[in-house]
Amino acid sequence: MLARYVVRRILQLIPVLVLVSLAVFLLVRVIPGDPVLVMMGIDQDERARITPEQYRVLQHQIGLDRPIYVQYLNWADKIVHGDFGLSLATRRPIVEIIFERYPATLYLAATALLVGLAIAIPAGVIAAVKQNTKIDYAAMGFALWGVAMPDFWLALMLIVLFSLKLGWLPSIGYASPFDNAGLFLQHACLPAIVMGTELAAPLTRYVRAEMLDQLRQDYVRTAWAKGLPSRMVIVKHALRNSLIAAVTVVGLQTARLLGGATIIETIFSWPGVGRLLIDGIYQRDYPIVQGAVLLIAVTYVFINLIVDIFYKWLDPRIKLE
Amino acid sequence: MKRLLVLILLLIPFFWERLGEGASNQPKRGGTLTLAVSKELALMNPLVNTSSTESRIRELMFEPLLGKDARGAIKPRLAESWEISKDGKVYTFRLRKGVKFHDGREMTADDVKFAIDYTLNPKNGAYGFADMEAVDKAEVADKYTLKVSLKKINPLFLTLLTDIRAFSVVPKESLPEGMRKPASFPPGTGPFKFVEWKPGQRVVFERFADYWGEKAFVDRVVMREIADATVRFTALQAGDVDIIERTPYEWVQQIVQGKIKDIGYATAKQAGARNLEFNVADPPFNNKKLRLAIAHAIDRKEIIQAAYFGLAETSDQRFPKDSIWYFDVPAPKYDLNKAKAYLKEAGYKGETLELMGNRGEVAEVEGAIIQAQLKKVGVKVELKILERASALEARRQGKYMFKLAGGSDYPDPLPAYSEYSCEPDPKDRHLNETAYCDKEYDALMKRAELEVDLEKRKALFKQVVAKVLDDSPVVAIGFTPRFFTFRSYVKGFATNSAGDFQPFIGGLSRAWIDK
Repeated sequence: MLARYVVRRILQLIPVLVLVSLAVFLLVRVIPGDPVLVMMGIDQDERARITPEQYRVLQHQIGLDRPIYVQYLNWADKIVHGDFGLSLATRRPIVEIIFERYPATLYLAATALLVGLAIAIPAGVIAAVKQNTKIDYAAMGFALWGVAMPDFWLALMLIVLFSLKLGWLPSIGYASPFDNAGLFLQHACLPAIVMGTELAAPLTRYVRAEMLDQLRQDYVRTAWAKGLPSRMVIVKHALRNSLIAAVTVVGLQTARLLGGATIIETIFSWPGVGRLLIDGIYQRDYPIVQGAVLLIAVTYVFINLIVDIFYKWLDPRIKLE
Repeated sequence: MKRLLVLILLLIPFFWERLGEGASNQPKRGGTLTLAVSKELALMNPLVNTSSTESRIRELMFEPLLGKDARGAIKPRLAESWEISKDGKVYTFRLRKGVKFHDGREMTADDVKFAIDYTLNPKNGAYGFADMEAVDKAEVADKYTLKVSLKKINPLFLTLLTDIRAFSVVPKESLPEGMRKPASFPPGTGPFKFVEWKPGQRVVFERFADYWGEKAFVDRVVMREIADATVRFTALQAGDVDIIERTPYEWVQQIVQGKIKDIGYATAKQAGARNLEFNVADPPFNNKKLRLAIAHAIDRKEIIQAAYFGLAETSDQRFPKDSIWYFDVPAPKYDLNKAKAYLKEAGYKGETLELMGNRGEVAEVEGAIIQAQLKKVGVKVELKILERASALEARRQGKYMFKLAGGSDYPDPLPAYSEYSCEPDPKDRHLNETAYCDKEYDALMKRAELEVDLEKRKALFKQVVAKVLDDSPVVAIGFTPRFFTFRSYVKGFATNSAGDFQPFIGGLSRAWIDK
């Protein structure tokens, strides 16, 4: 039954991807800018550097002289065959470029997720158990601050504190965790804290609200009454049931993290997909933007699928159909 | 005796320090220099996409035929000498012997011919295509001699050859035809050779031990992209990088004032130009008197002070005051009484004038100051800040009144002043966005296009400049600098007026690490 469900969900993915691809294909073409100039590395203001003859030759070479629907169909046809085309600026295959960048985004997302969970779950649980105490107010204060604060600002402040004033951590850069785990942690620390805080802030509130709800349930009262140790009641009973709602938040946030944190990756010079997308947009590198957005869309849909399956595992009462 | 001993002991530290200083002025070999750049490499083809940072990075590895010294004079580089035929159309270049590519092979005339032919093939999308369009053909006379024939006389030809954006020398057959691009850089002849490029992380270069000229001091140069200017400067202060380009003015001002210690700076004096241009084809600025009124009401010093922290220099011509292309001719000066008189003559009745600028540049600040300055003579100005692409369209179609315009550091007055030559359609403007059109001016420019003799060119351009200042389709404001900043242990680094990493006069190859 699970297999059938997964297949059906994957089939549902197809119309979503067609719509996303159509939308991104059209949107990048609405932004002013000329891909032929991009390819030559010519600034818009220096258009005179290109002769009409050269312009026509190049336009034909990248197929931009054909009607737009033909361009879309050609592109879609190639994608079905796993060919996302070449980047205009670098003339390298999109698939190669994206897979070069994806691990960095993945590792950072995983680290940020760990940081977020490590903050949010204990904070949410303690806040709920100690409702209306100073600990609760502190946790909720943190959550409010975390939601309200712009991530780029926190990033800059952390750089100033930990790199500039204290000199503990590098301000920018990247190392793969498999090449050098220690160096990776040094570099991932600040961006993961920023992204983890962003994730933890709303999650703390969710966990707290759900915990409060569960703690008032009859089964919890029964558990207390029969004299179970409080850790057992809180973690095994109340927390497990609270997490069902939290999974949705975590799932959506994870999808967002995997989509690449464009601003954070740019600030910390992190070589991920988010920065690739931003550069692609600035350079009007259509194939890069199209490829990256499609990848992000697929990630979203798959994470949603995983979240649904996870529900089932957490709560056997939920029916997938 | 005891006193003398004390005196000597007291003096020792003083001399000690002096001795140390003497030693530290001697360049040291070795070490790695990390430069934070604002934008990363895109492509490993030295002849395509040579704009901005891309070409600055490639200047470490590749070289053009000729060089330009600090004052702009043309110097031998890969070509040791050259002769120009009597009719001015055939250039014979004698190449330097013993120049090695990074793969150890010697450079010959065949390689130079290949680079020129590659650039001229429209299928390759080479950046220098338009620059080299004047070339009819390149022929190899012997191993070290190349003959280049032009379609017509081009006084700019040698100047073009000093810039790798036209073309740089690569080994014969090292680049494939068409849009497929090489997986790695072909070997070059420059002071550094390419080691690796990890996209989004770093580009690494190594000192080329067989370089024909002055060899680099450092062993390695590493470039890292830090797009955000504030983070770039923070990374420099934190010691994550040794030198950065494009430092924000507010930080430079603090360094100049001594508020930030242990950071040095190098100035690219004329990285950008700022001008005020009028749409001469349509009302209200088809009225010359109104243009002159504005030209007299602008206080350049105040604009530079406010928008560039006083770090830029003013100029009332398209070239800086110390350039050989700056002429002693009468120009509109800041004079409010004259401005008011011109306004009266122009018949200005308090209409609102729209000033256009690009979003994201300093146009907002400059525009606000100009607005305030013109208010003093009773001119109402409304600012119209547009996105780059929209502003470009408005400029092309002539849908603006007057605008703040950027410009680059032109190597020669011919391209700079061609921007005011007549164009056929004022609704489809190309170079001349002002749509200024004057027969006398065009006749002068036609003569300048065919004049090769320096003194005669100077005489011609003096007339051109006088005409521009008199008719004022443009009011030059000044030149904006760009700053490299570096840790104090980085010595010997200099740049040119445009802000190149490795200009002919030295740059990263002359930098050394003192620690």
